[in-house]
Amino acid sequence: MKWLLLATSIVCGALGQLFMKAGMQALGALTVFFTALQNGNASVEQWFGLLWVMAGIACYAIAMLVWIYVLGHFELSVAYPLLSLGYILVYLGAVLWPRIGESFTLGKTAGIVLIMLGVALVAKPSEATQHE
Amino acid sequence: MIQNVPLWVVVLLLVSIGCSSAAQIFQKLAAHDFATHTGPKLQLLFRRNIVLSVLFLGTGLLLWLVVLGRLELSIAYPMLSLGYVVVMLAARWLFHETIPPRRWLGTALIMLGISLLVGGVA
Repeated sequence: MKWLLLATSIVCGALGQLFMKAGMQALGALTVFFTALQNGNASVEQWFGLLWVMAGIACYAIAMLVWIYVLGHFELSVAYPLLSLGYILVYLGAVLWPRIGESFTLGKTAGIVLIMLGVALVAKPSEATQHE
Repeated sequence: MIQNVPLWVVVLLLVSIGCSSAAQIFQKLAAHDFATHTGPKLQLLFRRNIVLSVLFLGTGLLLWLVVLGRLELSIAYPMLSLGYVVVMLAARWLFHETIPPRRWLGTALIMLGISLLVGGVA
């Protein structure tokens, strides 16, 4: 059960980012969007964009709330490093979801792997704080 | 990659990371308030630390959305890891936490990873 919640938090966090990105991409330049809103002629695509953004924020909020629960039920030295799995999910989603359609490159992949290792090392609590 | 991104987008990204980091630090202070406060805990919801934490979280999120409109997610998202470094350094300065060598190594890896993303070595 607690593993399911940990997975939920990580997946919701990644989905939140992907939805927000898809939404902001559909909205286009914000000045243009706000002008369209004022003139009452925002396009269907822009309204869908707004919905994506709101769905993204909702996922993000769920991820944060579930994460607070997870923190209370896991060894922090297990939970924090697993959080960096989110980087892979966001990368895969951004590349594989055609609506976003970003490129897969060696430089990005190497950069993301280094960052994941770094985050795992930085976020893992030290032995002393774990047993408080 | 990041070469054809306007400077203001990069500045917004950095300010957004700063806001989320500040939110974390005020959360930590708020948690301390909760632990030490006697009397109804509900009063604490309107104390400075919680209010500032929520304000910074919200501002960070709004700026992040603007950044997402202009920058690739697969480049911008990993850069949020800079927040770990900022919070770590702030904790060392504000709460006098000691930083083990393992964390400095992690910081170095994060910075190296970010430089790969920024440089677009591919």
